[in-house]
Amino acid sequence: MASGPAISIRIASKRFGQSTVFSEFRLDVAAGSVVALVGPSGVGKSTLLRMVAGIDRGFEGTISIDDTPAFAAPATGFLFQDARLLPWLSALDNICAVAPFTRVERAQTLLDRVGLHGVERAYPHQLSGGMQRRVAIARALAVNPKMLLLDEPFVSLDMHLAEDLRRVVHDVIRAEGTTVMIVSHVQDDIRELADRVVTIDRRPAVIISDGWPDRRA
Amino acid sequence: MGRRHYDLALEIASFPLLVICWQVLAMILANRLFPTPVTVAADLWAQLTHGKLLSDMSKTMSRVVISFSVAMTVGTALGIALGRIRWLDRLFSPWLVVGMNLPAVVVAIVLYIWLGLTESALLLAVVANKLPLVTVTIREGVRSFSSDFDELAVAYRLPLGSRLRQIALPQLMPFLFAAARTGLSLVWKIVLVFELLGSDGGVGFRISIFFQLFDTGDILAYSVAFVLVVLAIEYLLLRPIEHRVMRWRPALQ
Repeated sequence: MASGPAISIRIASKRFGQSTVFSEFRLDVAAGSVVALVGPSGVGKSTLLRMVAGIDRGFEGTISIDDTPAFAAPATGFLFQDARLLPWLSALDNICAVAPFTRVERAQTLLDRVGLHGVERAYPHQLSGGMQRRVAIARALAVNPKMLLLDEPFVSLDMHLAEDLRRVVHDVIRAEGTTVMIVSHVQDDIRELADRVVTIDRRPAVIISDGWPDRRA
Repeated sequence: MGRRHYDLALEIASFPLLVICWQVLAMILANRLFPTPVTVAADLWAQLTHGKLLSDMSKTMSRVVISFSVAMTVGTALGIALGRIRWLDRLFSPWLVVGMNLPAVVVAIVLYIWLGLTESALLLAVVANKLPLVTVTIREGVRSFSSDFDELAVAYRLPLGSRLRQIALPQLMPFLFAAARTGLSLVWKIVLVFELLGSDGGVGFRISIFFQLFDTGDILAYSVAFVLVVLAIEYLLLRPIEHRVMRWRPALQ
């Protein structure tokens, strides 16, 4: 089975106004690995995900995905901090509209997997915050199950639901050989999903530790 | 009775209430220059069966449809361009302010002088009056687009057609409807004034003849007929389309 792509990050400089967020920052993510980015708020973890996704191109340096510049690489399954559903589309259409090669049956299956059977035709405002989050997860998996960028993926969900969804994402990752970069403050996310933890701190950001997650309960 | 039925009942009761007020006022004034609704209805029927109401109406409506369509199409394109391209907006915003504040009659008179009392002068004058309003409404709509959805489109590599259809158009819809509504009401009023100033037919032209004869009954009969057509467009065309397109909004459910 082919695994997801490898990511190479070489940022010479990334600034927000007078503040330098990244300077001479390097990080490599091996194909099929799950890297958790941890560190204090505001250090640039989400910015890094946005740069890898090709959303933020205002930096000096290169980010490549399988040797293709990130902005020109195929879409990644990006999960934003908010659900970011299109309010004028139903749950099912939110998946099919942004993942044009996804058949309705597959979108339906993904909704079923995240526990949303029977609400396919509901509009986002008719769903709870947790349900919206689950649609967003299904959408990210539909867009590209080979590469996921997850920004605080289970943050607004209750404990049991977060656990269920973590298992769903875990199963997809293992089945597809997905390359994942995950930003999370939740220890369970890191322990159960990640096989490498990169801790970032300071401004400009530096990697202060890089290793295996602590899997002790 | 549910809230929706209650609102509908109020809306339905609104027109009979207006007619009753009119009838009472006409009875109190008791003047031939202020006819009752019954007299106006009789005049309307007479114009419909033996007069030129239908031909005048079709002439005016065709002018309304043509000028409205041109103003909406061009105004939407300009509004999108100004909303997205900052330097273009800076350069042409003062033109819009001038356009919106230029008296409609001045535009009509100048165009009639330049182009003569022609159909194209009339249509151009209507479009010139309506265009700035549509452009500004659409520009504001484009400015209000959520950057969150733009980011979503970038992250998911949505092609241009898909971005326009799935992201831009739904956000623009409320502004398109607002522009269409205000535009329609403005366009038909302007068309009537310009027909009155110089035209070979149409509702405005006929009203100018009735005015010379002090024939208030026929003036009101023509006005009522036109208002009925505009109400039909609002209730049978605009609202159903709006309800269908905007059904995702909580307020419309």
